[in-house]
Amino acid sequence: MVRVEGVSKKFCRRFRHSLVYGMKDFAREITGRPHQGDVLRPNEFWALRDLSFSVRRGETLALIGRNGAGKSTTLKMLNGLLRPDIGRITVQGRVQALLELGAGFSPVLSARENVYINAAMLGMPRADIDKALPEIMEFAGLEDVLETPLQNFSSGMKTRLAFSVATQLDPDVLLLDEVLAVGDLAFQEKCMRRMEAFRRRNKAIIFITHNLYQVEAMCNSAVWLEHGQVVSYGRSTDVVREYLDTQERRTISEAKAEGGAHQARAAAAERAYLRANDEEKARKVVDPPSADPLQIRAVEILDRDGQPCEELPFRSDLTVRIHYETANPILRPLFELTFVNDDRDVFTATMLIDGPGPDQIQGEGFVECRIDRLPLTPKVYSIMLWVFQSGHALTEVTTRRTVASFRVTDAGVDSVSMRGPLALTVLRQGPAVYVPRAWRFYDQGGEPVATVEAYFADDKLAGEAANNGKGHALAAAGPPSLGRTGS
Amino acid sequence: MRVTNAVYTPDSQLRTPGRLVREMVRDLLASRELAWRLFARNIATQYRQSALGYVWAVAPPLVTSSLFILLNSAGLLRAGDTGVPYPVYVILGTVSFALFLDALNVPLNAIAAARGTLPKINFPHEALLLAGMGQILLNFAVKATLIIGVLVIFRVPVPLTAVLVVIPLAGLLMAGLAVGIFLVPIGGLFQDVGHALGVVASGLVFVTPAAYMPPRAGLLAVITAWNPLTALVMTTRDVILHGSSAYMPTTLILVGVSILALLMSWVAFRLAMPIIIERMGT
Repeated sequence: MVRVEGVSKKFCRRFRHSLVYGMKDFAREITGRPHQGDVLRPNEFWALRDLSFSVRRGETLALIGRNGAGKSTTLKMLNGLLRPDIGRITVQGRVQALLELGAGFSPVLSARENVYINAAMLGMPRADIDKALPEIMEFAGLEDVLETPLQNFSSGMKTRLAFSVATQLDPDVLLLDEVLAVGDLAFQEKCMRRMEAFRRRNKAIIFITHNLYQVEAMCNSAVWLEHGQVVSYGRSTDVVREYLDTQERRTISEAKAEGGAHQARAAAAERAYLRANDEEKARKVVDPPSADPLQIRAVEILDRDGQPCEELPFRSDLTVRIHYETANPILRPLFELTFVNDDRDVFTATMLIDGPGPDQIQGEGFVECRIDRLPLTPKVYSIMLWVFQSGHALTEVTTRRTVASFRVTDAGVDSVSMRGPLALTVLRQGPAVYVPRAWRFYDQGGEPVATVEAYFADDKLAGEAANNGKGHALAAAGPPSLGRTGS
Repeated sequence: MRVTNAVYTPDSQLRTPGRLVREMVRDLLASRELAWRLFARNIATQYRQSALGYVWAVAPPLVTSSLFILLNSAGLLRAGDTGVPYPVYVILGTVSFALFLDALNVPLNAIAAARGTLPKINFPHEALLLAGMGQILLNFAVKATLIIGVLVIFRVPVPLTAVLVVIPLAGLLMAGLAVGIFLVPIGGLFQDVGHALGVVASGLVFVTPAAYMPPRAGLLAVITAWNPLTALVMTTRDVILHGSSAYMPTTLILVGVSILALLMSWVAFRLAMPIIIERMGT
């Protein structure tokens, strides 16, 4: 129904230039000379470059990407508001675009008058508006304020009114620009239902969104744009996966840059301390006031095979190895690792619960903390380390700080039963901890009618054991064996 | 929801003239209802926010006429032998001139007023022009009460053939619209055009024989002779007062030229609108 073939669009950075170019374009247009679309004039840039996609009947396509990626430009071209500079757009059937809700509303006129004008602008014949008016007002939930001037409406009310008018029409192709992001939850729900009904009636929908849940739940395909270029186009789940992957890699490289700076600062402080220490040595030995009694030399993340890594598959074994050095003995040391995602503590592996280590450590050495089948969903995590000693009293021997970060990928998610409509998005964007579980449905007589299990392949036996009431599935995973060394 | 089976390409619409004409006709037909809505809305918003309402439609020609009458009575203006009481002559002249002026201003004003809507909704833009035309006609109808009033007060008889006045009036309307629409491609981009229009319009009334008989000699005689508005304004007045006019043949030619110009300006308007909308931003 909609076909976009090699479409490019250029814009001008300078307003005045753009006006002059406008005059030149008009001159070219009126003389019928061919359009030199592929040449960039001074101060022009490609707002959209070589975009191609197609949408068939009953299909929904999402346009995703950051601001300024060219999403709105694409919709405007599909709507005929902007013309492509290169390429060709073919649209079959009647098109309805909702680029901005409430465009053209007049504040001094009543809701009813505005509905009539808005609907007429969108191409609805008067008789149809007469018929649709009660439904429009009902859908918007504004039956009581039909004659009230629009200036007394809240922005939410105006939005509801506008969406209500626009979807009352029955186009073959619906173009939506992030309009679903507005209104309260109940209204959003209504809008989604209306869009779903649209799709069922074999209409095509193209919409812009920042909500990846919507993309996975409602769309067949997606186009991801970045600076006017197509980064990815294909099945919506694939595009969402790629989008999230890239965003997380970006986060981890930023985190790394930050961590590196931190380490550099720490090293500089340490060198300064040692220098000062050398000078002071001859006179008297002093405790460094600012430096920690225990120095952390390095922190490694090791995978299942004991290899250092930055990425781990979902539900894989993880070992954190902490290299330390301490001049003075640390008595009964306690290490604590807190896993953090998006500034929130997800869980803590702490010896404050598990119990202290050896009676004393001194010199160089390393500690490993092994976690079997890390229950974290695919996301980026950082690890905060805190070390205490519990000799006579509990005292901290390092300051609490971020020492490493890693990423859980969605490789291996297939080992989980994922038949839910939003499996991938919830797993990647939802809460950080994943716990295996099983759902059972029973009929009135207490007979089981259906079971939905979310155990892992290798947990399956344990899961079945749990079914027999002999124990919990996770218990079968066994206690972590702390003695194991990586490498 | 206007488009059925659309193809968008970068090529000039003039390269496919058949399609252009088809689309023009289709959009004109499709825009009638919207034009009526917009017209009604403009009137409603205009008068809902105004206490004096229609007074503002008659005020400009009334003030201009009063000034001319004042100047004339003081002997500062040599209007020539007008043949009828001077107030009748001057009101007829300024009101018909105001019709042209209104038509001239409407296209650019309509585009400017729709700035918020144009980049958001794709509707037949002809509706803006049609709605503007409706407003011109309504304003003229209000101003026409001035003419009727002055004819009654001064007991000036009106011949039956005065109905021919629709010919020069149509000419004034179409000429104004055509020039106004031709200015849209430039004026839609550069506001200078709008400013210039205001300056030119205030001077134009003095070089058009609205308040005086066309002079026989001098620079003004040359200007008024070449000014196409002379024929249209003179015909309007002559036909109302005498039922006929020596300027009628020129007027008929001008009406024909105006029709052609209006069609051409319409094409230019359609070619220019996408370019203007692109530069209106979001």
